[in-house]
Amino acid sequence: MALFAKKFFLVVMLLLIGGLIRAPWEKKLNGELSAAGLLSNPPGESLREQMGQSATLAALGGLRSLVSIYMTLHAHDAWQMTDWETVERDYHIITTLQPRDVDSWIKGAWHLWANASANVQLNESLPPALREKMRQEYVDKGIVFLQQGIRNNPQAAKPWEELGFVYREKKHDYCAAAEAYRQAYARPHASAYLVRFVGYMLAQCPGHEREAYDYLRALYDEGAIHRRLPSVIVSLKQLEEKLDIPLIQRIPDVHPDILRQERAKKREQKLPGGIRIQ
Amino acid sequence: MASDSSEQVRDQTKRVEPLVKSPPIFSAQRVWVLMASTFTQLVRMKTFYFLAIFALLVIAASNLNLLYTPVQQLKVIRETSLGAMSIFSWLFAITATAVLIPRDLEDRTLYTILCKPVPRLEYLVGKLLGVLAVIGVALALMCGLFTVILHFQETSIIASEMHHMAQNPRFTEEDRITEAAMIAAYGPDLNLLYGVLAVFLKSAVLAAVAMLVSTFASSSLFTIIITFVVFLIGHFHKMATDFWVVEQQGGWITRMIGKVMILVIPDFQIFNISDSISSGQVVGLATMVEMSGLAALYLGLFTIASWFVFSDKEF
Amino acid sequence: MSVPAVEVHNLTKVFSLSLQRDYLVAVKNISFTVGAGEIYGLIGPNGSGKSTTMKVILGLMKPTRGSTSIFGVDSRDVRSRHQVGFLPENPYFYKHLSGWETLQFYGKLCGLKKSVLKDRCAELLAMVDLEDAAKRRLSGYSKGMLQRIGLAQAIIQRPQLVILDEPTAGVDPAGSRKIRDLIMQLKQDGVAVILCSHQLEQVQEVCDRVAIMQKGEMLREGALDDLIAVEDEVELVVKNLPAALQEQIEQLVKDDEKAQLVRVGHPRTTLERLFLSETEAGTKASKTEGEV
Repeated sequence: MALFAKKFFLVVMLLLIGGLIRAPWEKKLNGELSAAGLLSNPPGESLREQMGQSATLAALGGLRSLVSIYMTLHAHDAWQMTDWETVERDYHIITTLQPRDVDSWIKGAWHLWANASANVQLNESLPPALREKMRQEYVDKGIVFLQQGIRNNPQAAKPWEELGFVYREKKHDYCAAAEAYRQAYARPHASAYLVRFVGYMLAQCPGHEREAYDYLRALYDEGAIHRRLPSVIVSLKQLEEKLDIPLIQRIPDVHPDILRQERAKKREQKLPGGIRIQ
Repeated sequence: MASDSSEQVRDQTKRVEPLVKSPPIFSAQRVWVLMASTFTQLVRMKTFYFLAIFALLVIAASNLNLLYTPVQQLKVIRETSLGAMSIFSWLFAITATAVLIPRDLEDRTLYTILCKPVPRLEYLVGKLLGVLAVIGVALALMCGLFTVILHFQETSIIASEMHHMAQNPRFTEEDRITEAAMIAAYGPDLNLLYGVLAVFLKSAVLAAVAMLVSTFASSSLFTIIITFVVFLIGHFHKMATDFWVVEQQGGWITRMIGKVMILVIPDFQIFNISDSISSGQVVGLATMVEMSGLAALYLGLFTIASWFVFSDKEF
Repeated sequence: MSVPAVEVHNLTKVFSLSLQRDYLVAVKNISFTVGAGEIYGLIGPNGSGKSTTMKVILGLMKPTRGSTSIFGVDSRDVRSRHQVGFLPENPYFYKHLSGWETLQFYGKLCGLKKSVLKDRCAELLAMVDLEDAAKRRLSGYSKGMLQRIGLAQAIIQRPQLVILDEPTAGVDPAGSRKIRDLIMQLKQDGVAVILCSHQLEQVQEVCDRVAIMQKGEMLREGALDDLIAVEDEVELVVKNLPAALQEQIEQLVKDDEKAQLVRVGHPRTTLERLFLSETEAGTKASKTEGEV
């Protein structure tokens, strides 16, 4: 027994000396990995409480991805049961476990601003005013969720794009939508169409008509695809009217609606008598 | 039948020369033989049947339809595969290492091996390398399998996305190229290999810990439990360091015990980069070299400690 | 004078019983020497310290006091194992290996070259009569087959000392005879053998020297013939002795003042010999019938 204790002590001493040798190396590597976004901080106390012991252990053991897949499945079930509180909590866990997973931020937010908000609006057991209040609350929650995603992934274009969409479709706040699209387009790997979306939103943002006109006109003058797109032409035409732009400075294009009508007429002339295109 | 005396016996008999003159004190060939034997032993225990389960898991993951975006679909395959690889290699590292030495002892195979000119260090290194070889080969096979599945999924997802985008005039050629590149970033790549390497390194350190415990332990079950506890504690390194070292929490005795544990127990969290890699984070070669070096240091330390205990263990 | 195969000098081995301040003295101050090419029997009841002594010789245990050496090299030095082969009691080996692979494994551990090893494995499999079972995994081997493959692995590198712990335990008489023949073959080859067995008849049959142990102590040790000879008696075994001559001899003994006739009768064969002769005769008879 004494021999065992002696051996045990000596082994601990050996490992202790080894630990002292490796400690600075480990600290350096830890710093490098954290800086490169390869190591995440351990889950905080509140998150550990929400996840439960086994999921916490799995997450600590380097199985964050698996835990997050499990939570996604769990949230999927909750979504089908329209259990929005669970969906919200699950996505909070998923994004805390994998804060750099942009898609999870977007999907979590989508559940809130699109699904939950639409679902409470349909809940006829609630008075209409309360339904509208709750709808707005879920949209706002979705926005907050996306903003958190943006803070965690400052270089990602998609959360900004999604935010622009929510402001446009759910809040009808075109000024905020324009800014969100502008931010999205400024980031790497942003979709090319976002450059035009900024203009469309500005065109609907009160007091920014001139800015919108200059912006879209600059795009139009650039040529390429912008000149051919009906949305660009329609927006410019509306702004020309609104801002009372001199005729000489207006774009020469025919309004796409007129073009469409003319094309329909031509086709009708070719048809046998009496047949009209609806 | 007995002869008159030993002197007479020697006179009557012919002396047969031994087949080996003088074996070296340390022989890489003997280590190789022990490693190969351990490898065969574990393979013939039908270890690789796990691969079939793994294949089913990856196929299931690639067909999981949860309204995923194209990138998410690939990410789920990457995450499930790397997760399954991790679980397999950890469980295997602990259990296989825990049963090997007690089993040799129980079957008295250990006697016959140690009665040959085999230093005990060679025996330990051979056994450990055998376990690592099985983990390495299994991980390589799993990696190959899921790379193929990931590649096919990536190709089919890109083709489908490009087809849909081509039908929508809103998307330019540039959009399509960007989208394809973003999806391709989650296909098979070198980073994924680094992720698998990190899983291997973590399992290797875990096996070395299990070996040290098994040199002390009286049963495989004890080894498995203790190693698992060490494995768990090894994941609280950062939290423990913050608590006891940075924030100086707790009484001095608690702090001392905490500090000793931090220094003695390996930091397993440091190898947990496969999670981030499966989510698309990029890792450099230099980092992987450094991580491998750290794992080698751990292996060396724990093997020496195991040898220290095992060298004069009595059987 | 050549170096002895084994030298045990004042060996004492004490075990501390865990969690108790209690000790067990397994071997008490024993000394003996096994000469090169000698067959040495170590006998004694269970718990007499035979296995402990063997383990200390093989370096599996450390002596508490005293020392052991093999061909002059201390047992604690790994080089002492270069010239040793060991067959433990009830060996199992790696069940996942075949007989051929088992011999390859142990041969490689001993550092045998590939070309030499191939021939050696074939030679040993033939020697232990396991050529037909060479490709079968050991999990399908009978007890006797395991003992024989165990013996083959013990001598794979052609060691100068072989230690056998109960080599015939649980083996049928035919298998037991085969193993005995192999031991005799080793003796012919000049290999020293330490044989630890409960089968005293077998020990008597093959050993040159014997040590009797009990409770960790050496009771008797020496040349077998010296130990078992009844000094004050003489035995005459005569074939085809006529009754008249027998009477004359008995009369001569009676006439002598000191001599005393103790016993007259037919010598007994051993049950083992009887069993073997009968079973062999039976086998031959059935073969002949088959041929007819």
